[in-house]
Amino acid sequence: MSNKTQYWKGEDELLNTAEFQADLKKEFSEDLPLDEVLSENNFELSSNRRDFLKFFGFSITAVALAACNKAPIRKAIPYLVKPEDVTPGVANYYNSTLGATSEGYGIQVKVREGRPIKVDGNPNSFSGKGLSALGQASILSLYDTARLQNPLKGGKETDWKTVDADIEKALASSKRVAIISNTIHSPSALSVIKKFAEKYSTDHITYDAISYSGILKANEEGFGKAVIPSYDFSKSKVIVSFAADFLGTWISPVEYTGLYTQGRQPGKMSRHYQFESNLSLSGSNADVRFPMKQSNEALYIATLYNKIAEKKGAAKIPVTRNLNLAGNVLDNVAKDLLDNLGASIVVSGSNDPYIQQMVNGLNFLLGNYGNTIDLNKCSNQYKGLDVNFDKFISDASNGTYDAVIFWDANPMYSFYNAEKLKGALSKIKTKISLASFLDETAEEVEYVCPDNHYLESWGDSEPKKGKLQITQPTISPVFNTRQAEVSLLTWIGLGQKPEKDPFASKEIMAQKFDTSIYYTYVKNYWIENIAGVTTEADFNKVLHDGYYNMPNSNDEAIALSYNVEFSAYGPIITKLVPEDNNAIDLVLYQKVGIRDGKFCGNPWVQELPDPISKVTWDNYVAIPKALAEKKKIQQGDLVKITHNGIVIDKFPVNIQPGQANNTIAIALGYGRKGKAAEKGAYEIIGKNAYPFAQFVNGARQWVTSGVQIEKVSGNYVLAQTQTHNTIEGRDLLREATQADFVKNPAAGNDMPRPHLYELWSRHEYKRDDNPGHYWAMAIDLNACTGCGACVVACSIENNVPIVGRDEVRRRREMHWIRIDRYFAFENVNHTDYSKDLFLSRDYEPEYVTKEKGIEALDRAEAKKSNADYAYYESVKVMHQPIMCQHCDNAPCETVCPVLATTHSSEGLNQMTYNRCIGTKYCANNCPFKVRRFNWFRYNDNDKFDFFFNNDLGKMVINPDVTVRTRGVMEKCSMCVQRIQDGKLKAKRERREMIDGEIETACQRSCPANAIVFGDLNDEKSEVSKLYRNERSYHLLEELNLQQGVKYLTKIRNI
Amino acid sequence: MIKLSDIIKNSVKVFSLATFLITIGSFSAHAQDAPSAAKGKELFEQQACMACHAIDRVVIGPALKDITKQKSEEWLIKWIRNNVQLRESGDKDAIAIYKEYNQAAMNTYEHLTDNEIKSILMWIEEESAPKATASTGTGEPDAQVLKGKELFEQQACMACHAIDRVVIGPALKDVTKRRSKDWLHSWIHNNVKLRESGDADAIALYKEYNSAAMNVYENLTTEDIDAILAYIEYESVPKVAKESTGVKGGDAQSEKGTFYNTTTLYVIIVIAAILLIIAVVLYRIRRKLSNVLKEFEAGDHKEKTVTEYLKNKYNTSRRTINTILIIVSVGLVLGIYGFYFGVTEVGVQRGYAPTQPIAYSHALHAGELNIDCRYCHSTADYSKAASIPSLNTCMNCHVGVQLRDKYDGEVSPEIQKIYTALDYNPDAKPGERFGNNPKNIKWVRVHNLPDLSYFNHSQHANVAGLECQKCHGPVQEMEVIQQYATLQMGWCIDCHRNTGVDVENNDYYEKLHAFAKKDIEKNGDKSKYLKDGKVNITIANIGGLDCSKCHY
Repeated sequence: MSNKTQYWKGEDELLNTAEFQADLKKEFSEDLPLDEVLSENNFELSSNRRDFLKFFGFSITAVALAACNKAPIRKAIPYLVKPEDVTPGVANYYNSTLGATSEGYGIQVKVREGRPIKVDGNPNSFSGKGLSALGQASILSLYDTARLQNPLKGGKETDWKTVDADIEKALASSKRVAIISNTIHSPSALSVIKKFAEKYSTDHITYDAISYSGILKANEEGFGKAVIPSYDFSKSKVIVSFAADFLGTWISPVEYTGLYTQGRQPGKMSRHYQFESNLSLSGSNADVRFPMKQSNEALYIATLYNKIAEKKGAAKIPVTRNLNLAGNVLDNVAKDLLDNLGASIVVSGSNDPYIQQMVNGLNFLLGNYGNTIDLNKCSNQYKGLDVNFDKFISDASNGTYDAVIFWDANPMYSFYNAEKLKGALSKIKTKISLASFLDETAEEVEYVCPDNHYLESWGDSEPKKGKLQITQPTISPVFNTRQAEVSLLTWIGLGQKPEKDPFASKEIMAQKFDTSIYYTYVKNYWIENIAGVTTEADFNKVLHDGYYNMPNSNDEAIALSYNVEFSAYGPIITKLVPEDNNAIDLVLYQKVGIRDGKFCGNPWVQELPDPISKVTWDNYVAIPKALAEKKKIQQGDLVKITHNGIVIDKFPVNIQPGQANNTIAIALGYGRKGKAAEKGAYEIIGKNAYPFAQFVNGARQWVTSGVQIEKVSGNYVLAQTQTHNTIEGRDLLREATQADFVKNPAAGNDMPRPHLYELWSRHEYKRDDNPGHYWAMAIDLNACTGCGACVVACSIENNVPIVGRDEVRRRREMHWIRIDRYFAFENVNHTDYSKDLFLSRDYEPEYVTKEKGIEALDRAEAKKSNADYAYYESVKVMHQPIMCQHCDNAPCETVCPVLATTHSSEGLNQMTYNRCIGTKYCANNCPFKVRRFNWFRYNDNDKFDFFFNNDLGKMVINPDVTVRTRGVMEKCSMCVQRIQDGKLKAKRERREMIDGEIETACQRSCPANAIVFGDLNDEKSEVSKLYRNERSYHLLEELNLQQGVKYLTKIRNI
Repeated sequence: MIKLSDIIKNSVKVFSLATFLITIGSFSAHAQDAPSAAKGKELFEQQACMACHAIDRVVIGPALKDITKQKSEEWLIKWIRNNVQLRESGDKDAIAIYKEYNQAAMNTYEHLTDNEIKSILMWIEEESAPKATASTGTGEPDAQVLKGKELFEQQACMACHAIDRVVIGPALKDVTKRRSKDWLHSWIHNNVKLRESGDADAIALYKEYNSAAMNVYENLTTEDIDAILAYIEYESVPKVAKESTGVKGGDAQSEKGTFYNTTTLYVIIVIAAILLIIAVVLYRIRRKLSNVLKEFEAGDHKEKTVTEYLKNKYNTSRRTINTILIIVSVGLVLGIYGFYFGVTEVGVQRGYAPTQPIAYSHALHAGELNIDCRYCHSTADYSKAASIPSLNTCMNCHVGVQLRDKYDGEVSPEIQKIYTALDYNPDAKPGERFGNNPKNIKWVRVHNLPDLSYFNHSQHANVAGLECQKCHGPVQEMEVIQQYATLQMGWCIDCHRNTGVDVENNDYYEKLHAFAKKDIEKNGDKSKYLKDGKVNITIANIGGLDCSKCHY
């Protein structure tokens, strides 16, 4: 019954607007610009016969002459002395640590002929085999020509000797030095800072663009230690999140996604409640999502606390304000939590220490500490306390500091009051930045000493207490840069090369760069300080494995004495919650791809569609339908947002289903330079929303209330991929409730199967006794969170070009795998939230049709009341990854006039680019719209200056995959290069294939293990088992395409 | 007076004839019927003659050098076709050879046609020519040639002659093939006398070269003249083989003798010929038209305009159609030829043998010294690339092998190139020999497989266990490495269709092997996996023809 749910992709599809209908019929979003092309060259628009003959004759002659050309002479340059472990044509894999974010995930780097070309998670590290989209994409910044290539002095390029001499002199005369850095959890780097502080009197101030001060302060107060605990979502039966997007952006999302899906096995899955304003990735996966005005968060948590405290006999928090919404919702949450004592997690995304303290109180009452929340094996991923940076600014304004060193921190961009910071910095004599890019902060300083990319650096990290990792270089520095740690060591006179150069035999690398200095430092540090590592051999083993778990960390366990008095919280909550419940909240959030904006200029993450809005290349203000109607704002309008004198003008609007009423949301991390323009010049992408942040209760807050929003003239089309394809009411998505699943594992998937007619004879590989392979894939919709890591991983693996904002608007994005996001109306009682609709155990979901939803909308418009818009506020979401389905009866193959797309003997639908003449018949005939047409030669076109068309950027290209030229179709090949490679490996080793040996790029990158690939002719393979699973189904079964991709129904625990 | 229509008719005739000739000419270049040395080479390899024979040394059977001079063609054809029959017929020579070579009977080749055998013989003859000596290592012309060279210079022959171009007298290249030895002797000795004797050739030659008489060389002995002729013969052999022995080496920029140079030349010649014909036709049309105009102005006629006059005078519509038909058919023939040419030849670099920066001889290393291919190209075993070996591999031997005895105590110049690239000084103290200024060697890629096709060496060399020679040809005989196979897709496919997979000795194929055995049990002779009583699974049987095996 739940599969009667009607899904839709966007509002125009829901309302079936006239434009939508018109668009539906068109193959391309716009007519082909033939006339434009002709008129551009001053040709007659109406070409006559003579012109035709002219062009015809000219092209024939040109082609004939071109064919007579001498073949180019190609050179082959072998190694002079071949490094023992580098073989042309064979990839090497190195374990290291992701340095792009401070989350410190363990990674495996694939290196071909000395070039790192792919980054994936290290399966043995704490974060598992998956990796985030940003982590995947971070490899591109290694080959970014925008990186600083030399040290700068006063904005001009100079050499290291000059800057070193100047800086050493300046530091020697400095009374006090400040080092401002992102969170550093590298033991060796911290020891470098310690040594630095021994020579120059130094304060090390940790500044995180997105800080977790609230949690740190709350834990300091409650448990005596300013740490972030480890959350084990896999052990938790009930997860309650107040606006913490732990699957997308909160603290350690890759790690949490892995744990979360472990706890979501159908039949015994956890229940996930999400309270939030803007629809986040976590919210879209939640079983129950409640649209909450985030400025009311303190009130929600206090109310929930009181409900629990009442049952547990603890003191209540004196709440003076009454929360007259959602009373029953919280009752049900409380009941659920009390039923699962010690097996739940309550988290909050707020950065307010008091709110976090109440969350701690809740978790303590529920007995979660020691069970699902671990304060001993804590996280080191974020350690920045906002008060410290605030103190730095006031100290600096008072002239305390003579010198400041910015290390991987860019407060001039991400600090809410950049002017104030600038004023403070003007009092400091010597300003140094160790940035890799000329970022906003580096522009303010005298000396920029560019740091290496993390793939060029040595180092170590301790993202979780007792779980250590090594960082090792996989390429020698591309530019004349120097590792930040080495810069610091140099300035305290410890930057000499070791007497016995460990790389003497690999002379070129060591001579040119100071790689050996920090290698020796890290190695010695480990041997001297890390328990269990005493010899170089021990160190080398850690280096090989990439990770090291400390044996019984001898830190004393934090005593679980928790004694916080909530009696004084009444006025605090009153102060936090705005009086006017109709004031508009502004929520600043991070996007899954862009995060805090450090890699805003990375085209791979920019072109990754946002998991919820499917917008690329821009940020925008997400506003709820009700507010839009009230303010007469439509999709694509521009608005002006004002708060306390901070203004963002001419900002595009995205009307977002799921956005809570009276709240708007803007993504952080934009408003920086990047290559988004067609002509390849750098331009500012989106707008910077950091200035809207506020400093309250000793921490920067991302929610403010009382903002003004007004429509301004103008229009802007967001490059949104969501409307590119439509579902047209077809049965692509299947789901069931946990209760139904327990009764019948095929629930939601047990409709009568259509009678199928076969036109073709069976493929040989499908015969029962076939000894060959039959490659197939299974995708578990219950595991997929829609994070988009696979999209980026696929692009990197398969040399998928980036097309830019304008081409995405024309629906020409090239992604081989896309994640379709569907909305459906959730049943809400739109007149009274307090009715027990959400959560009663014997609750039977009400079937909400699109028509009902639209009716409600009409009612809302007629009555000018907000209540009916509630349908829009609480939509349910499905994520469905779609790539080429490798149909056995493939519709695309039968229509190709040149046999460019054919079927392989192993069940793959193959695409032969050099045969393709670009008729696009196949794309027209594909029911899943997964074939992409190359409109341009992206790898050699100035208009697409992203990375594909410069020598350095081309280094990231996978040499095993053809770079397609224009005019051909392309699509998912199921990573046939990996299949071939895996088979060849088995053949060389003269053994049978092992299931799981071949992993497609999307499968490898998935933190949730939602994608499984393997051989269907192997009965024991994982994919065969999933194919036999009752939950599995083919899309559009009635077409009898017999795809090589099956989906597993989603289960909702409601 | 010539009629306009006739002119057009004639010019069309000339035009079509010319194109026809060009076409036929080009076709005949590719014709397979007439015996040719190239065909002979192919056959020689196809029939695996080299299993028992080599040109210049005994393998199992005798060395074939100059065999055509020792035995008559007729006898050789008989012998090759069926030596047993020949021996049984009591031929003494045949029996003698049989006994001489340990009574190891040669195979019979009854399926070969006369022309095919002739082709083989032609190739053997060609291989026996002096260049063979030049390329088998000594590289030095023999004493007679040297003497000839000396005489040639002494007598200042080059004042009037060159080998490959006309100076005052004719080019001498292959003169020994054009004229009989006796005639040449009498001509060089005293050409005046020869002419006076009424020799038609001599008189024609005299006239051809502007009646400039050649000097008389009565002082030269018969041996002297023989020597000179030997020298001319020596010089007439194409230089490729000799140059490749690596005296020059050096810069690799000049890629002579690539396929495209000659093609371009042919294309230009054909185009020039066509343009010339068109020019002539147009010129004559113009002349004719002006004549008609004169006629019109002078004459008395009822037509008022020239056009009408012309129309009535020459009613050409039928002829036009005919002309168009002819042009179209000629165009069609040319088009088909062009298509055939384009499909089979354009972009194929078979035989491409560029000069490399180091004149490395595979004939020496792989042939004479018998070094295993995979000693240097070791990555062929486990990588997709066979890769050009790095210089440290060369240094394994050449740290010692310096050939100083051949170069007056100096390091051989080619080996020196390795040292220069590595910045290595063999005369310095050990430990100080490597400098800090190494330079890469930029080899010229010979096998340029396009990016769109994926080829993996380890698949073929390791898994399939192929000999390198299967695709790269007799590398052990190549002075300069060259592309042996066409590298066209058809060539790959052919092999994949016909080659069996060794399913027995690789556990990867265990299931496949069992399957094939079962199939044979069930279907007996009808099973497609049975050949010569054995399990035979071709690469094509297991998906070796799938596009995505090579294109992704």
